[in-house]
Amino acid sequence: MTTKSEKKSAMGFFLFIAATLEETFRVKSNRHVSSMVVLRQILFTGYEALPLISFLALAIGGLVILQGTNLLTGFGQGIWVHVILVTVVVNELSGILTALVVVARSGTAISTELGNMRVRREIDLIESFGISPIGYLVVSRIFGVVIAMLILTLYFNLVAVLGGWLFSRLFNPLEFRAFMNDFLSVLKISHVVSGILKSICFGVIISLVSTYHGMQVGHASTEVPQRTIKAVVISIFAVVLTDMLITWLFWVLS
Amino acid sequence: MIVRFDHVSSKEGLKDLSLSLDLRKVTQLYDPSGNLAGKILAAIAGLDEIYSGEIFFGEQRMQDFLKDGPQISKLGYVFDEGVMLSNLSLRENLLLPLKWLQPELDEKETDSLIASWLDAFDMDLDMKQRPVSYRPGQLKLLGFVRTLLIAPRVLLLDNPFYLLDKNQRAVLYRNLLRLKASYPMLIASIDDEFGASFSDLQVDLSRHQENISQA
Repeated sequence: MTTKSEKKSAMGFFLFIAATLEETFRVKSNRHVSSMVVLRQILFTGYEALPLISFLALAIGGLVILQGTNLLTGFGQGIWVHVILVTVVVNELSGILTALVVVARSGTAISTELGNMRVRREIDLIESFGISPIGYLVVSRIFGVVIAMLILTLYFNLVAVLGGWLFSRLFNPLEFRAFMNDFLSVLKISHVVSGILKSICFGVIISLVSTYHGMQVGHASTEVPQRTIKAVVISIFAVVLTDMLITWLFWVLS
Repeated sequence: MIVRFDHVSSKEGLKDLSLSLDLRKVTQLYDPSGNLAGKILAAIAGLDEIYSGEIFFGEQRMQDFLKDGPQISKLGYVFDEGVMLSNLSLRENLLLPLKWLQPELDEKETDSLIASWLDAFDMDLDMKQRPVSYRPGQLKLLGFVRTLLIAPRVLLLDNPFYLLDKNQRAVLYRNLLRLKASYPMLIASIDDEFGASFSDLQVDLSRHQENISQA
């Protein structure tokens, strides 16, 4: 059963989305949106996450090839290991794992930063100037996270394919060109489109949920970790549900 | 201009408050509880969420008044604490509202204006530093400078002497006396002696204590 406070909270979230959309569509004439904040967000969410993403992508690409080769060569079907790499990594894991990294690093950072700004009354200060906190703090971060998420997902795919090739050489001294030819022969445009769509949706979800919970902190510093935990849990739920929905949509369309 | 509260209830705890205040003079909101005056100032500055009732500036509703031109050029709100954006340097903090008001700001000219105000407040600070490097009293005086750079129509001062040491109080008082001739002010304060000697009008909020609830 939905409680009164849950209903109020859901309504508050939708009002927040409406206000964010309004500020986003006015972005050209909106002096509140700071290009410096967008760039800093891309730097933090994207560039600084590269080592972790590289490690994960190399490991996942390698592990998929390792497990796939083990499984398929038993049936004499070793050639199809690239199909597994495309299906599992490009279609599913790259988006989800990148999103989890972004939730863990940037989602928590955004929620905590905005929450602390609320406690220190910095958001009140911005409002007292007549500057919209949503335009100045939220929209810039949404742009930053979405752009960084898109770049990180593409990067994850590239490194995972490279990791797959490196591991596949353990079993089969395959040339990179031959490996890529096999890989590209099973990669369809729909895989790329769904990957891009997912990463954009995940970026929007993570940044919206994190900024909303950060802005909802009241005057007590104890609310900051509580709101951050909520932001992480809801982001993960929403990302996985959206992933399932988009995968189902593409499955129906194909 | 008269600001009028008409049965205002708000998120921060105003409860069915009806009150008129003259924003053409220097008015002290004398509040022995120390709770209501600050909330009234915050509501005037647009920092509270009004649940019911209306605030009028003259004949204009608050929303229309605030939309009609940049808010900071009308109401200069100085926080009781020295609130600064912690990720910006002191200079960036001072320039933020100015740049918002005038995107084509002449920064050299503004730097000399900043220097003259810092001089007036006896402050010698490294403006490249972040706020965390300085004491709350210094940041509070810097908050005054930030507001005065904009030259708003009215100054809203929330507990102006809070957090200040003896010297800083003297410096601020000297500057307030100088500013009194050119700025109408609305001052939230529990200091009735200061109010009696400094302000043109005193509004005693003791009889409005039923108009406040815990938010």
